[in-house]
Amino acid sequence: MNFSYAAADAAALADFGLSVAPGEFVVLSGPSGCGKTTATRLLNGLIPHFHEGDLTGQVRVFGRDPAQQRIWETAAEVGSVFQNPRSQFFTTDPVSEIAFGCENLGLPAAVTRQRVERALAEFGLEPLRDRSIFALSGGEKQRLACAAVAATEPGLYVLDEPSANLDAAATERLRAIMAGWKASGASVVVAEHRLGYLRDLADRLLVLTEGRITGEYSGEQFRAMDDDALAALGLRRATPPLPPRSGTPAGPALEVRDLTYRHTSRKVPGGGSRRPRPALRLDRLAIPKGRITALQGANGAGKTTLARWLAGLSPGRGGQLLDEGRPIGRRERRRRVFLVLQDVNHQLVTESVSDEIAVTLRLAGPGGAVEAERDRILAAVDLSAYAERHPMSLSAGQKQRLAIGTALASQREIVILDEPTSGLDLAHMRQVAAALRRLSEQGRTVLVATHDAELIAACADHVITLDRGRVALQ
Amino acid sequence: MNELFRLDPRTTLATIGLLNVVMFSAGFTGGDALARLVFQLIPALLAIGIGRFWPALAYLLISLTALAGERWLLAGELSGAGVALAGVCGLIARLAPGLFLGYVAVVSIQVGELMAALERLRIPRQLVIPAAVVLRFIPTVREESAAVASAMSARGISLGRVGPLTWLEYRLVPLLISTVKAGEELTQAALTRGLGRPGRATRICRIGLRVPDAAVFALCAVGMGFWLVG
Repeated sequence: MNFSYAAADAAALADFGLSVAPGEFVVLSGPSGCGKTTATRLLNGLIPHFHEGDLTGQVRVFGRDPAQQRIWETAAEVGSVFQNPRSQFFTTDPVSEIAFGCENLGLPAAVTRQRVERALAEFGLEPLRDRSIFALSGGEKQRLACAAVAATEPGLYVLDEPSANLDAAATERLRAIMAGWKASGASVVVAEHRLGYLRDLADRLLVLTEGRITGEYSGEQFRAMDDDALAALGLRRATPPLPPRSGTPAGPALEVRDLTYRHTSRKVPGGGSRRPRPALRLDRLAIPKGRITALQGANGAGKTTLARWLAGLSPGRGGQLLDEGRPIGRRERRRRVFLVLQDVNHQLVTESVSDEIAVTLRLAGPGGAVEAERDRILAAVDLSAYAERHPMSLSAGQKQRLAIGTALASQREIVILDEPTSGLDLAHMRQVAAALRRLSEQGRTVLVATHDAELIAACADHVITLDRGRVALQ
Repeated sequence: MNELFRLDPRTTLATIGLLNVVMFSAGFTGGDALARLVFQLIPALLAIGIGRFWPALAYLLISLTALAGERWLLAGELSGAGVALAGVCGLIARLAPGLFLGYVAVVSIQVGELMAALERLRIPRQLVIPAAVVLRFIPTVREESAAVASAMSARGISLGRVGPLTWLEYRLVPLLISTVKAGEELTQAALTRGLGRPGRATRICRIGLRVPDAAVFALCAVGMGFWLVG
């Protein structure tokens, strides 16, 4: 089987063959761009019905070819869960969302209602039933997506990096859900970078490289591989690395004192208002200067809230940031802190990689020749070869590095990044870690909010753990 | 924010239609003025119904001031500035109710309800799906827009530093790219869940005309009555 996208110059998949037995659990892995997403799209019919291209060979799902039948016919048998929790729900409330697939299939209303109730109970969504989906966390949204797909009772589940935006607890819940599907006799095909949670479920692991299957391992073989063996295949580790060093750092530090932050109650369509507990309640938190500090903690622990407060984007009650004892007000923080947001797409605005850096340099106004400085920065984040490319044409890992480059160009001494490696493969994660080290070598204070244990092990000098808005460990 | 009552989407949509007819065709004297006043009040009532007290109050203040201002200005001797001010007041008085009711509709109607309501009105699928997508997409655009604003601010790009045109470009380009991407992902998710299957889809959400709907229709009827009697 071969497939190439309409606008591509290389085949996305070549000589690809995959047959999934009923009840089998298959994991597809490999570096970014290896073709694993393409393989999932062949199964759920998005290729060729949504993404056009040249397809030769045959696909058979339950004896029928998704390319030959209408996509809604495939929808009855194949359930799909995608990477981004924000953009895969069609309605705005959990009940309609779970019902949506059943309604489209034309199931009788009574059956649909029954399945909605069952899914709400099975997936632990009962407490969320009256919330607006927009107010749910990433993990809750992903659980809802699974519930909505499961309600149509497909024979095959296809998942494309479903854990990319999830923390450890949410990933564990996802694992339990997938184990349930496997136990019910359904087949599961999942494309993933993060392998740890799939280890005990997998019946087969396929490793893809540049569109070809370069390795095929049974569940036992996969479980027998250690992290070095996985790394040799270019894959992420399956066991989390050792808990990183902590302890109060020596040397000059930035200190957060007595910060309480409460979100204003959310107003959302169809939802009620909530006055939640404070998102942050910090007595004292120290960030060593000129080092890389990792800020870890589950979703909702307050990592992003703290990052935004530090960057001066949101006011907090009574909190102070001290720079070696001297308070830095919100205004000054806005000048001295550079924040790279989780979705870098929002932050890249120009038409070429080199412009992106040059514009920032001009805004920062360090003086001197912008061109020379720009080229130096591009080299530092390893993007010299892409200088003339449009930022949006870069891979996720390259975009992160470009954002780190703009941080360098901004001349600001404190750089905060929010989940810079979500969804990145091993090679890209390592490049991001290298770029972060470059930042700290140039004297910047770096704070990385992340739940990527491998990234932390690869670059962090110091680790702070937040738990429900409080410092659990530093 | 507690909901006091919930309307059938069809009631809200019908109210939008009637309100705009009256706002743009009624005069300013006698029964017409009363009709105007009734329809001026309806959007606030609906907003209170979904628990949006402060927006309702703000709307009432603005639209009633504009209405009164226009009448008062037009009653007296008119200078050039007076004419301009009366024009502005008139515009606000005519547009505000429709806009505010539109806002109320967007925040109160859920996508599932809208689809059920439109399908029950036998509106063809080719119109129902786009309408549902637009309604679903409004909060997404708002979310994305806020995220882009933060991103700009985090990068130190402000109106004062880059000039209005560049600023607009830096705001709009990422917004367009991210909303297009979100739309594409949304479409894929919807397609793999059987959207577009021919034949009638079943809907489980319970919509139907109840007491609050009857009350709103009665109020609309009173307003229309004033207008028709003149």
